[in-house]
Parts: sequence; C-alpha cells; structure tokens
Amino acid sequence: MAIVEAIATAYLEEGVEPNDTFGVEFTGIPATYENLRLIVSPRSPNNTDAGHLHIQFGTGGGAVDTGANYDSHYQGVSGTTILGGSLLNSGKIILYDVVTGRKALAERFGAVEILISDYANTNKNTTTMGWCGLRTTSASKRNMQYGGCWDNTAAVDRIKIIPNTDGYARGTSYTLYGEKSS
Amino acid sequence: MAVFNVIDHQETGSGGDASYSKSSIGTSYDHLYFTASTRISTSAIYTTQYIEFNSDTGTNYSIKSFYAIGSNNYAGSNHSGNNINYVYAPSATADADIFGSLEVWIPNYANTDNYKQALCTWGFANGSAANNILGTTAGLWMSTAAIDTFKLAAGSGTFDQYSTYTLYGVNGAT
Repeated sequence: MAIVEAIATAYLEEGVEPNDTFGVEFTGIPATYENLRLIVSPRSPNNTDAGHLHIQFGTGGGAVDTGANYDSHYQGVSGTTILGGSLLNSGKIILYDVVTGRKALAERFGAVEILISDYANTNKNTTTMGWCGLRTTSASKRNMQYGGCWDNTAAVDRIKIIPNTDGYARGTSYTLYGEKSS
Repeated sequence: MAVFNVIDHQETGSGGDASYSKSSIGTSYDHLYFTASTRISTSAIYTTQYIEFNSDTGTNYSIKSFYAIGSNNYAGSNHSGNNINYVYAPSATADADIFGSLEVWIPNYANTDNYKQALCTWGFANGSAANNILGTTAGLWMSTAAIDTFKLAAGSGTFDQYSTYTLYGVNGAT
C-alpha cells in the first residue's frame, strides 16, 4: 500500500463560481495518516493582482469552526520587498496573496503547498506550514511562507478552503494527500 | 518500488527525549525526507533544534537561514558550524498544545562524490504576534560520505511528550 495517498481532488471546470463565500470542503478525512498535505492551484475572478486563501478546520463530523480560533503568520518577498506579519484570533487561517486575480496575466494560477502536521493527535493544536510562489505580471512576483494554528486539540476530519472574495476561476484545483508513518 | 517508504517513526513518551536518531539508513533510496512535530521543554517561547549526520560533531556544517519573528525578518548563517541549527520549535512558554512543524529534504543523500545539502522548512503560529516564528534553513554537510545516521536534537532541554518524527526514503523513476 502506498505511503502517500490522494484522499480527494476538487477540480473546478464549470466556470466562475459567483458566490463569494464559496469554498471547497473536504469531509470525512480519516485519522489514519500522520500528516496531511494540500496542493492548491488557485485563481479568482476578483479584480486584483492576488488575493488571500482561507482555511478552516472541523472535527467530529460537524461543520468547520468559524470562531476566532485561528492564528496566521507569514514571511517572504514580494518583488524586492521583504514581508513579515501575523493575524491573531481570526476566523480562519490566512495565506496572503496566493490566489491570482483578474489583474494577473491570463492563465497565471498560484502554486500553494500546505502541510498539516500530526492532524489527528488530540494532544496538539493543529498547526500548518505552507508556501507559495507566483508571478502574476511581469513586475509582480512573490515567494511566501506561511504558518498557521487552529487553537483546538481535536482530530481534524474536515477542511474548508475559501478565497477571500469572488470564488474561484475555472481551472482551480485542490488535491488533499495523506502521508502515512507506518 | 514505492516512491515513499517509511524508514522510521517515533513518538516521544512522557519522559521526554533529548534527541531523535535513526542509524543504519540504507543507501537504496534517492532522497531522504523527514517530518517532525515537536515542542521543547526549555523555558522560552522557542528554542532551536539541530540536525547532525553520521554523528559528525566537527565544524563541517554550513547554514543559511531566512526567518521571521512577528513582523520582523532576520537572516542567520554559520559557515563552520557543528550542526545544522536555526531550526526553531515552540518551547515551554509558548501557548499550550502548540507544536511546531518541520520538514527536511536531503537530496541524493547516499552519493559519495558530493557534499550533502539539506533544505529545512519550519515554523509555528503561537497566538502572539511577537512570538510567531517561521523560516527556511539551507544546510550543507561538508562530507562526501553517504548519510547513514540522521539526528534531530533539542538545542537545550528535551523534546516534549507527543513530539513525533518520521523519516522517509524517497525513490525516483526507475
């Protein structure tokens, strides 16, 4: 049996989603893996160069937690500007500027990888680590790293991924992998 | 042959562990990949962890790190170090239940012609803007020996209970 398994894939091919609260949601995630890894190739119809990606977690078969129980941190380079910052006690983990928007060149999508470590361990809060690289126009390019925390020790069985505005553009894809440790 | 293969997995028990180590790593893989979820007992917000290969504690390591604490960015380097450090984990005064994420890629670890590179990515969000920390550290072990022992150690104190470590051997196409 493979050590790394694809749990689910969502590929948006039906065109632009009109609902700005639309999110892709993976449910029923088993607790049988050591880590989860999420690979996202996102683009939004939002009239920006790049927008944010939001992540929420759920447990026990219930809905995702939308309370102010998430912390986010980032660092990286945008153009030649070095960035660093945090957002605390928010309703979601935020990955800044990873979803290319309408002002980005055509066919430019973000590239995002998110590691969710030991997500089923009930003695730990759920922490994430991710990074992205994208070049939206000839002048705009980013290389960013992200840390996140869900202030809850419950085992994660649901993940929701939401763009900050205007849904996703056609061609956006998400794949969730599980990584075993035995 | 499978692409990813588990070489070893350990979890720290209630007594804590000063380090995680795996010896007798075979040479049959193309790359090594290591993930850990750790917290350290030292009375601090964060403490460095360090990596050693083949029990070599000589000044044979070179590192370059780029990291952020809160909204401030930093760079660290050491060109004759005893190990690969600047790999931080949450510690005793970080928020409760926070464990940091770490992953390490060691490409072509078994070759005997080149020095070995390790790319380490690590971090955690902590509930306090000033104490969130994450970064990337490139490490070079200046030895042409094949890596047969991998060690991750706490810079001070011990790894807390529930810290986990998984070492994978990764194959390319054959």
